[in-house]
Parts: sequence; C-alpha cells; structure tokens
Amino acid sequence: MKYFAQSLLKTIPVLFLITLIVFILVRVTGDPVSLMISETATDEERKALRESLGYNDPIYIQYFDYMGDLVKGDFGDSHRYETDALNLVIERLPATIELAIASMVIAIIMSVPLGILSAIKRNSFLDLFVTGGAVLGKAMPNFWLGIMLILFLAVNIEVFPVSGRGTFLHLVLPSIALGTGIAAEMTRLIRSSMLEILGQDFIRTARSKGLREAMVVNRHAFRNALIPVVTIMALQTSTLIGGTLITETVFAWPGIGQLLIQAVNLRDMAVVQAAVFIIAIFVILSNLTADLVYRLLDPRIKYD
Amino acid sequence: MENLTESMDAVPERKESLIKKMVYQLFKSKTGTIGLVIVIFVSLVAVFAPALAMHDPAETDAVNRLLPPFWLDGGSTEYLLGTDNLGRDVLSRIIYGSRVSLLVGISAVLLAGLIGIIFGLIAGYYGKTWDFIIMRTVDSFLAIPNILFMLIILAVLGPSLVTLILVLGGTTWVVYARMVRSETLSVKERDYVRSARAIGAKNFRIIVKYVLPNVISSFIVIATLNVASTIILEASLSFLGLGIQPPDVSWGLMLSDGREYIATSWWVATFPGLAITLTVLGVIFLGDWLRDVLDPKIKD
Amino acid sequence: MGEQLLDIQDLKVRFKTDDGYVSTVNGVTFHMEEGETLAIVGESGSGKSVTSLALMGILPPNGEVYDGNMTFEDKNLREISKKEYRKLRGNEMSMIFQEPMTALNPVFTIGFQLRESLMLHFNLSKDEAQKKGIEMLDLVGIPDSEKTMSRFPHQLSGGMRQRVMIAMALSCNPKLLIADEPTTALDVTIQSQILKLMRDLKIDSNTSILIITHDLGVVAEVADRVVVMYAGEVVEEAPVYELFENPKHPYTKGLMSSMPKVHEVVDDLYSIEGTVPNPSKMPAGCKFHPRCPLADEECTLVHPDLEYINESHAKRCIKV
Repeated sequence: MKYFAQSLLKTIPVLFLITLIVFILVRVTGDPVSLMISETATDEERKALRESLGYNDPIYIQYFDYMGDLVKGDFGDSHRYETDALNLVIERLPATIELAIASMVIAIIMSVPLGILSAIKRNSFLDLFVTGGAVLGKAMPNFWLGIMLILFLAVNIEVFPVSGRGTFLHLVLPSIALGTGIAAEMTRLIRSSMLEILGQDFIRTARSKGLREAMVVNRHAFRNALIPVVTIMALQTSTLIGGTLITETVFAWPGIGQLLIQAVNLRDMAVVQAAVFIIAIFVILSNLTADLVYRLLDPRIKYD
Repeated sequence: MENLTESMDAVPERKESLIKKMVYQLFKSKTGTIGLVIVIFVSLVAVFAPALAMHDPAETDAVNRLLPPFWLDGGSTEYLLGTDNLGRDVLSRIIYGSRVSLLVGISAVLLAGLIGIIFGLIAGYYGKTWDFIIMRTVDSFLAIPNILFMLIILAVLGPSLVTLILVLGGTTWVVYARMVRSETLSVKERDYVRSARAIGAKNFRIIVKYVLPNVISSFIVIATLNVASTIILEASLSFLGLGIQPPDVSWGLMLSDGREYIATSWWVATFPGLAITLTVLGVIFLGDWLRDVLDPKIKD
Repeated sequence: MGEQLLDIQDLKVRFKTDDGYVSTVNGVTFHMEEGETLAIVGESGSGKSVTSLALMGILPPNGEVYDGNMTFEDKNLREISKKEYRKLRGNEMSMIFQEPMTALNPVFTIGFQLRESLMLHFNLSKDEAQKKGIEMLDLVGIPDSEKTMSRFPHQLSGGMRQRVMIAMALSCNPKLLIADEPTTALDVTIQSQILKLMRDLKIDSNTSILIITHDLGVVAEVADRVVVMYAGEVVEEAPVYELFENPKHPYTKGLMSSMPKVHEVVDDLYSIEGTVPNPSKMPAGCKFHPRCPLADEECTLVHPDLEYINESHAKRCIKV
C-alpha cells in the first residue's frame, strides 16, 4: 500500500507534463479565440472575447490561470452543449468503462487459452492457425472489423443490434471488435512468453517430480509467463482506450470516445481538454494497477 | 578438463555477407517473401494509379449509385467492385487510396524518425537538464494514448493532408528518441570516443558518427513496423473525419461512407478494409522478416 | 551390493531437427545395482545427459527413444503407460540438475515446491507435507529449515538451493537418484560439501545414485563404478579403482591426463585434441579415431564392439 501511494505520487509530474503539453498545443499552436467564436464575428467582438478570457496576459500568467482552473476541475463550458465540460465527460465515463472492461475480458478469454495451446503444441496446425490469426488480427483495423461484424451479425443475420447502448446484446459486437486486436497482440505475447518459460530448467524439474503435464503447464509455466504478459497488458490499456474512441463512433456507443470525436469535429476545446485529461488519468491508473499486480506476481521484485 | 569442455563449446561459425544472408533468409521465410511481394505490389499500384484506374476516383455517376460488384445481379463490368453512394467507382478509389496510405505512412514515420533522432541525440549527448526535459516529455507521451495528442492538435489545426503527416510524425517520435538516447549514452562511454574527445575532436560529430551506424538496423526494423501502425492510424483518423478530406481519396474515408450504407451495400465498406488489411499485413511480414535478419535482439 | 535395479540395453535416442533426425545416443548399455553409485563420465555432447533424461522420461518434445530397452526393477520403461511413468518420477526415481540457480521455480516458495511432490506421491495433507519438508531440509543440512520453507529460491545461495534440490529429490525415498552434474555450477568448497552430503545420504538410505559428470575428481570421490561415454556410446566401463589404476581406452586415458593432480605443479594441462564429433557428422569406423593417438587405418573402417576383458571391465577399442 505504501508502494502504491509512492507510485501515485510519481504520476503527478506526468499529469503535470500532460497538462503542459495540452496547454502548449492549445494556446500556442492555434488561436483559441477563433475556435470559440463564430466565423462571422467582428474584430471588435474578437478583441472583447480575448480580453475577457485573459488571452492578452503574458503566457505564464495564462498558464497559472489555466492550472488553477484545472486543479479546481474547471475546464470551462462546452460551447456546444453550454454546460460544464467536465460533467459532460464524467456522465459518459460509465459507458466507456463498460466497453473497455468487456473488451479486455473478451481479449483475455481469447488470448490465454490460445496462447498457451499454441505454445505447447508448437509448430502444429493449431499453432500455425493461431499465430496466423494473431497477425491478421493485428493487421485488421478494429473499426473495419466492427463494420464487418455489423454486416454479418446485425444485418445479414439479425442477432445483435446495429448500434447504441442498452442491453447486454448491444455490448457484444463493440467489445468483440475492440477486444480482437488486443487479443491478437496478447496471444502472440503469451505464446512467446510460454515458449520461453517451457524451455526453462525449472519446468524440467517440475516434470521430474512426476507432475501431470497440465499441472506443469498451468501451475509452473503459466504463473511465470504471466509476469511479462501483465506488463504488456498495461501497455495495451493505452491501445484499448485509443480503440474505444473509434469503436464508440462505429457503434454509436455513447461514451467519452464518441463525445471526444464530436468535440474535436466541432472544435469544442473545453470538452476536448476535459476528455483528454480524464482518459489520461484512467490510463495512468490502469498502468499503476498493472504495476502492482506485476509486483505481486514476481517475488523477486522488492517493494522498496 | 577445462580445455576439453571449452573446446567443445567453440563451434566454428561460417561468416556470410549480410546481403547474402538476407536474400537467403528472405526466400527461406515464406511470410517474408509474401510481405515483400505485397509491399511491391501496393507500391506499384500507387505509382501507376492513373494508368490502372478505369475512372477518375472523384467522378460521380448519379445513375449508377450503389451498384454492386460485377459478379452480382445488377453489377456492371464498367465498375468491377461496384460504386458508392455517389456513384464513384470503388476499385478506382481503392487504387488511388493506396497513394495516401503509403505517402502518409512513410512520410510520417520518416518525420518521427528525424525528430526522434535529433531529440535522442540531444538528450543522450548533453544530458542533465536537456535529458530531463526530453525524457519526461517522452514519458508523458508514453503514458497516454498517442491518439489523444493527435486529436488535440487536429482540433486546433483542423484536418488536412499536411496536418495529418505532421500530427502522426509529431506524436510517434518518442520510440526513436529513447532508442537513440540509450545508444548515445553507451557510445559516449566507449574508450575510442573518450580518447577522441580528449584530443579535442569535435564532440557532437563523433557521437553522430558512431551512434547512427549502431542504431540503423534497429531503426529500420522499428520504422517498418511503425509504417504498418501509421497506415492504420491514418485510416482511423480519416474514418473519423479528422484526416484526409474529400475530394481526396483515402481508404479510411471510404470506410466511413461504407459504414453508413452497410445495411444495403456491403461492398462499399468491405473492399477498402480488405485493402488496408492486406497492405498492413504485407508491411508487418516485411518488418518481422527484417527484424529476424537485421536485429534478432529486438523481441516483440 | 544387491539386486539389479536398472538395466539399460542398447538405448538409442534421436532428436527431430529441421534437417531430419539426429541421433545423439547410439546404443548405450549399462546396469545398476541397488545401493550402488554409478558415474557416467564424458565431455558435453557425449550423450550422457540425454541418457539420463531418457531414463526419467523427460526428453524435450523433439526427442524420442527409438530403440533399445530400459528396465527399472521389473518395469519396462518403454512400455509402461504415461501415468505409471509419472508415478515413478519424483517417487521411485528422482533427479537433481546442474543449475541450482534455474532449476527451482522462481515464483513459488521452497516449501511449496517441496510439499508438491510429497502431497502428490504420498497423498499427504499440507501440514504433514510441511512437517516432512522441514525434516528433509534438516537432513540436507539447511539451517533454519522452518523459515527456509517460506523463502523464495532467489533468497538462497547456490549451494543452499542445490541442497533444496537434493531434499526435494530424496523426499519420497527414491530407489534411484539421478544427479546430472550436481556440483558443476558451484564453488569448489560448496562442491565438496554437496558431494559429502551425497555420500552421507547414501550410507543412511539404500538409494542408488547415478551421477553424471565430466569431472573425474567427482567420480573418484563418490562413485563405485564408472561408465565412460563418447559420442553417444559407452567406450569403457569398470569399477572405479580399476579404472583409475588401469584405464584401457585411449579416450579414458586422455580424460585422466587432463585431470590436474593435487600434488603436482602442472604448467599446461594436457587435453585431448579436437572436439566431440557433431552427431549428424559421425566419423566412420571407431568414432574416436580422428582424435585418437593410437588410430591407424583399421580404426577408420571397423566400428569396435564393447568387449569385456574381465567380468567387470569393458572397453570399446581394437588397439588395446
């Protein structure tokens, strides 16, 4: 727990830098006023807005103001929805978390057995099939897979709804679309990790004890193979969250991703910043969790 | 006894030239061969697009909207893979779309590589403050998904081909920066570099001279594999309406049209997706093969 | 010495590689009696480790026994079911390996790994297995045995880990203990402690030990009888005193003279020229002839049989 607190502290500089980068991108690379005001506004109106937003102040004062607002959780109002941007984002959070978890579950259900099986049946037909499928899964854009799933399972055979959120059935296609790509990466990883572990001396020791092969694989090998897999799974969280953005758009899933993409298209900067910030926190927290799990799995790592 | 066991371990190895080894391994590796063939094929299609395409990719045909591929009822050999909602020829658009995919994929990766090499060299060579600033920036970029940074920049700058390349290049450079930095640090400590510096040789040039050859093979491998992911990213952003804008053609853009008509006209979304998958598959196969040949150290 | 425990006849093992099958054990024959310590000696690549893995039935997936017979007590090891074989492993026959650093699973405690085979073969409860485990650690001379049970392998030194391995291997009172280079990876002082431990344990129990080594020093310290292997074959077999007094095969002699003697100052250790031939490119005739000081034309043509010069001493050479 002490370790967790320490790691949490370490993420503060990262969050700080992210806000700095966002600030630079938003305030320095573009003219935020032109994004906030209609194109027909007069120069007078623009000037007035500039002044009222404090954009005529020196850049460092602007930055302190900006950070002050951030700490208070004030990202400003969405000019599209005319309501607090952060609230807007937080309302959408459950839908995105639901999709992300369902996708991860599907990825794990697919990749763990396939990765283990293809490692223990190395160079078999099954292995060839699984590794081939994994490369294909990586090459296929997940939004295209989503469209194809809609075509086959929602249009041709009307099993699942085409889009939207609501019932369990609504969740199936988007999470398969998103989970498959992650499953592909994880399968490759579990396979190579298992192959490496199965060649280790302690596996031979386990066999020499007379353990059943299933015990050797599931107990002695898999526990070790999990260690690198968890690390990479943490990196996959990033892919997962990136993937929700686009999957939500394909399936009209009312999550942060869909909101963010709309906001980008409408130049609704307050919402864009709030969404980016919330997603960043989400990703950092899942990385922290993965790090913690990693430490629990590997007794060789000390806690200090 | 010691000598005996040692002599046993020393299995003499034949040294072959790298080129010979590469060619040998290419034909030994079936996927490597397939990858190379696909990449060459797509490149040729991109280069000779005007000669290959039967129609102007932007040419609309109000009468022949959403025509199915030629082998289906109602299809026409005029439009081999059918037409989209504006009556544009799907095949011609796919052919032209390869240009954007390759152009964006390759130039964004080169840009990212250039930025990464420069920042990596600076961080590794100057150390201290520069290293701190650059590496913490790298950490931040790694901490959150690239696509978020891309979306912010695109929201600010607005979508266009050039913006797209800048955005993709400007957010994926961190991998190269890390690689170059660590190589720079190790080169800096080598005796010959130390002594070269001691006798007053121009520091930075020495570093560059010794670092770049050492990172080149890793660079080629990572860059190739990144072309694959960049092609997917370009398609994703264009699909979201944040990348290539009409009347330019991109596979991702075609997919977003196709998504709307999926209930009635499956071909509009199916074929561009196949084109992306095939191209990316080719690049991945090529990259994996390059890794096996050039840099067996890197693991996936 | 008592009843015959193990009989290996004409054992052949091959591995499947990209270029077809490669045979690394080419007709090995030897036997062991109850309570006996037999050493198999040879350079790496001689097939001695593969022989032991074949005996335990834990060859890597691409390896197989394709000819010969292995009889353990009254069981034909090539014919018993996988399940019966599993019941023997870790129970009637067990094994310790060369690398104590990597032979224990890093993510489980010593206790877990010790209890595992006890619970499996003796159907003990966790508490009973724990008790027996602590007894075993005491037996192999591990101080603080109770605490050690809850330690992880990386928290122990190499010598301690090898003691744990021995405790694990002996925990089910095996009739046969196979020790594959048990001391090679250890410091010299630790080496002699482990060898002493093995000698002591042998006096206490009636376990037969098959020790596999390239180190004639180890052989001299623990073995009753020695089998010398070269290129997947037995080239000489003799009781340990006879072998040291009166080695016959030129390869054995080469091994002897490359062994440093304690009271001699040696400037340059003698070593046998060349290396063990690659299993896929075995020379015709006697496999040792390219490295043999005595070889003549006949040796390049005739593959010698293993012949007994008295009832316990055999050699595979036509020149001596």
